[in-house]
Amino acid sequence: MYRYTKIDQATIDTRVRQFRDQTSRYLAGELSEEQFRPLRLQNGLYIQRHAPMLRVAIPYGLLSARQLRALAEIAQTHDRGYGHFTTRQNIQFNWLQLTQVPDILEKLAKVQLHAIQTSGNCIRNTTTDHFAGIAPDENVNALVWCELIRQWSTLHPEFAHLPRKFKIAVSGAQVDRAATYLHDIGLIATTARDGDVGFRVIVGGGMGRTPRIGQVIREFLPWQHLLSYLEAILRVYNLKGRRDNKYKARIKILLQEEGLEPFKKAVEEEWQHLQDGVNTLTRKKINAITKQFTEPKYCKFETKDDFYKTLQKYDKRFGQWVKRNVHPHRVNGYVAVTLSLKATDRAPGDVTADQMQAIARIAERYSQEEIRVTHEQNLLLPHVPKKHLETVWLELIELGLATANVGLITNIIACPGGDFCSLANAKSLPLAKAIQNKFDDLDYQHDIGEIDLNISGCINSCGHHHVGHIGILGVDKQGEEWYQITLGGNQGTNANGINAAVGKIIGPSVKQADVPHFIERLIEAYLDHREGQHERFIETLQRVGVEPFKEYAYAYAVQAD
Amino acid sequence: MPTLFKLINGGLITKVDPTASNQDLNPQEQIQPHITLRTSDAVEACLSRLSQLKRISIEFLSFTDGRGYSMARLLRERYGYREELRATGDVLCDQIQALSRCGFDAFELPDGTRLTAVLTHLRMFQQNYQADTLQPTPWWLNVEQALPEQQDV
Repeated sequence: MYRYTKIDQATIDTRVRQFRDQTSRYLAGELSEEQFRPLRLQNGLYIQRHAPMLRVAIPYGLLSARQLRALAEIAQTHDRGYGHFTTRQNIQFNWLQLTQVPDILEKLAKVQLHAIQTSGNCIRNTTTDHFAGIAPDENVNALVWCELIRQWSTLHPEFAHLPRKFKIAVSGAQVDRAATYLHDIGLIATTARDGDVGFRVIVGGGMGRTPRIGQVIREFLPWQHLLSYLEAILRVYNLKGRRDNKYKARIKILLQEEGLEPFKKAVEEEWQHLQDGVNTLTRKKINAITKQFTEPKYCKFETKDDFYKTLQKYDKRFGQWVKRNVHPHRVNGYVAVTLSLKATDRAPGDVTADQMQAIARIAERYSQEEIRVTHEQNLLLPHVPKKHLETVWLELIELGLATANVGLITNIIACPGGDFCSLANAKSLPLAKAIQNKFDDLDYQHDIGEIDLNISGCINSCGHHHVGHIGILGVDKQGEEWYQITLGGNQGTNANGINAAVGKIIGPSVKQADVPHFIERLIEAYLDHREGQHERFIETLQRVGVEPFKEYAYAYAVQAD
Repeated sequence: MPTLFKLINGGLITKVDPTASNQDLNPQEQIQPHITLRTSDAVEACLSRLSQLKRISIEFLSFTDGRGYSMARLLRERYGYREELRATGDVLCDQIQALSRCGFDAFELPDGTRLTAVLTHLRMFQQNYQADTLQPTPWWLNVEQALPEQQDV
């Protein structure tokens, strides 16, 4: 866990006071709605369909048990007893009173949490691989660099009013689990031959209305220059990004309109002035930030610690759970455990206050008081001793958090959709549930194997439908909710070398009631065409192309008409 | 009619007559060469005359138009402009600390803005992470800031 320094604490305490003042001025009529809007957005507060929604930042997805308890308390006292974890590793509360928000922020500040820059046209929460620091395939621990970027971007005086929102993701592993090619800036940390850290700098990725895969503008940027280079990119964007049309205001459009080479040239020219300036990083600073992270205290276990493998053979349910929800750890004797928030009885990413309290307790006992939020809207216990695996499993079953579906078809990423969000064209949650019900046989799910199915209620694509192997997008057809289906999206490079990609629409949109069966037909197409048990959905799709899938699915749709 | 606030000697703010921006400054000041840039202009437009200018106003077309902040930093940090840099147009009290950190030292704020409110906003955050035109070194040159151990979360 990162522990705050004095400046960190002072900054968020002051921000609470500032927001309290802004809220009371708004309520007193001294600030107009138009003036208050950007101010509250910069502090994560939206006015939603039913009530204000507050998005709380969980920097790079790292949470302590104490922080989770505080979130539970807020859910209990100020909301309707639950919270919603998002794809950007944050948490949202959907049923708050505006007048209570300053008090909520004050409670958050006491446990080193805040809502700064979780919305608005500014640099948002930096996200990363949820296995950062523990992944066996890691080259560089991204957490330290994320924290550095958090500090640099927090209340940056120059970049608080950008043309549009700005998202940065960092990955330090061989497999990109942070979707770095789908962010305004993606950073992949690697080490040079001499062991020094550097970053591949990717710019202009993103989802939304105009999905784009980011482009590399620097293959290896030495770590000393990270902040000055970010500053150069942001300045070019701040000055040149379009402000006449909010749909064309993201950096990806600037990059597209200028062209990669001219854009790169503009950044490099700007950087010439900033290079080796005050933002040049020193080893001392990096060490100081590293020191602020508590080091997990790992034990050496005397007993043979993988007896759970025996149990795996005899208890099928446990075996399935280990296969899907338990992940390797760089330290011997330890694993990471995903808590699936994708059971069919709740909206993806939702957790009740009671569950949060219980998860905090489990984390205190078995995971060094640490929890992480994954961008697939699940939670992770990052440091679980193998010898406690069965106990943890049994406790998670009690809580309904042991669904063995991580990476499988029911592990759906979905936005809150039309049930909550005023932007949505269509609902996403009932559809997610209907699809989960269609595939509720866990054996069948395991047979289908790894697949990403993502649902967004509108083109803003908060449910990441563009990068689902199967993507579902809600569209409005004369007041009716229809869904467009895309195939072939991919969120990042994976172990099989498949790169990040945006899915393509495969045909006419589908009525809500027909979607689950349509998906089932796509899966049947895959099962009929896959070569061997291990070829995954996305691999079959890439090998045989989209046609067989279309045939299977639309043949049904025609019959239905 | 906006009210003008000025930073004098790096800290003090003086409230000047509301009409000051055009009329009632002392005659010497009024004839001093000045220019107004809109946030849609490029700062490079005034570089040839920069050394003669005694005032540059940057007019914010909207308070959410962040270009003015980068323009100010460029003028101060890259082009070495030392005279008055005034934020005009749609400017909110809530922004003046960030504006001053980017190099603005005069602000035309909505009429009726109180001096105490401006001072509060100007000094809202005591410490800042980033280097800026007021604080030439970023926070990491003072790294021994850790909170005591019991503050762990």
